[in-house]
Amino acid sequence: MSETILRNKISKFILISNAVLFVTIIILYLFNGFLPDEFTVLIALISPVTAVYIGALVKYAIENKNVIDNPPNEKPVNQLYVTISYWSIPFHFSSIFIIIVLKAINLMTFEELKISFSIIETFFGAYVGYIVSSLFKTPDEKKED
Amino acid sequence: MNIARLLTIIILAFFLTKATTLSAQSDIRNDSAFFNSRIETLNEWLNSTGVGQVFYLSSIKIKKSKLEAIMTSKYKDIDSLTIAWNVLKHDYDSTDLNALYRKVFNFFAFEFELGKDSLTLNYKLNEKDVIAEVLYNKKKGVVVKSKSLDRGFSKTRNFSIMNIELESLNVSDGPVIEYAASGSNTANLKITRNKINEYLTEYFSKKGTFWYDAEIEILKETYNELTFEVTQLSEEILDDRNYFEYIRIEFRLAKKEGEFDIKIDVMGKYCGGFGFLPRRSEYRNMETDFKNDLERYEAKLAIRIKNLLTN
Repeated sequence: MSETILRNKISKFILISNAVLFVTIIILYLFNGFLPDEFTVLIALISPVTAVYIGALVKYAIENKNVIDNPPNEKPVNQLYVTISYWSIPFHFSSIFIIIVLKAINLMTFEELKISFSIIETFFGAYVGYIVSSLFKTPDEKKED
Repeated sequence: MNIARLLTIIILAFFLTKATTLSAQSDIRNDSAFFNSRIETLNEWLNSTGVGQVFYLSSIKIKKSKLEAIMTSKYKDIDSLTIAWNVLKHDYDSTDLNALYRKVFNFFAFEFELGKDSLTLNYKLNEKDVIAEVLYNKKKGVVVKSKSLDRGFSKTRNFSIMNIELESLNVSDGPVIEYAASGSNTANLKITRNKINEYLTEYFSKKGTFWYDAEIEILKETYNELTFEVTQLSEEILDDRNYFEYIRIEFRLAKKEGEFDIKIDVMGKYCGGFGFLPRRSEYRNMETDFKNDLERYEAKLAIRIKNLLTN
């Protein structure tokens, strides 16, 4: 698989997942899944995570606004890279999604949600950051490498 | 090893595990994290009501079946404390100076999710000097044991008492229903209690949440007291919010010059979420967040009870 194909697939997933995550949080809040102060804290917790994804994606899209076709002679990426990037981001998103839903249906307390969120970020945050920055490197950043 | 012996061991092990679990459940020290998390909320309540001008909850001591809450004075001399505390007690109920002690005690017991007999409140001037101990007695109800502090008060006058400035209290006090009743005290109290009991049982049997029916439990029934706890409620007090609610309603009956006085106290907690029932520790007190809704509900309930008793 070429890096561009992988990047396009993951970009679509990131955009859809972010939208789904935010819409879910708002719907759960409207159904009283969270109290107003819990909702505020939750948004403050989620925002940095989404900023990592969307920020890198938007920056990449802006830097490549004139690139229409795939770069010629692009080197393929190996299976390990594909597997890690293909599974870690969805797993990260799903974990966050699951703990939010568990709290909304009262199977988890808000304190437990915060602890679980910290654990997820400890395990995934750094690795996902590496993958995102590697996938969405701008041409200038690639030249520097 | 034969089968009978093996079965005996398994049964014994089962009961031993059960007994250990039950003894662990009755040990309130297991919930010390929850009790400690309540200190901040209780101090917020004390400050919002004005009681915090004189006392704050400084610490708690958790024993196996008792929780002792230490209320420490903000005044460092007994003269100032006595005057300030008396002003607040008069402000709350000038006819019964222990009423404020009882109000604080009831609120603390509800917030700590404890039976009243598991709570003691010690009001202290400083680390050593206790001025009052408030506890629950099965026969007498909430009892206040005031302790006089001789030293300091009579010997050295502290003139800083001239600077005491207090804002009036903002403690919600439940409504009192007065209604005329003939016949003997005991018979009337029983009839009244039974009427209220039947009415509320019938009323709450139709209530509940989307998934659950309301559960009604009578926590206390003596000749002049009736305490209900209703759980698995929704839109009962906070009728415009679909939160989980549970409420505790206390009725105290007293005969006064050919009339009955019925004092109603409603305490409520709420929690967000939907689907499964939240844990008890997740609920928040309505008196701190929805005081007006709670007072409105108390007033409405008082009217309904008065109509019930007079018709």
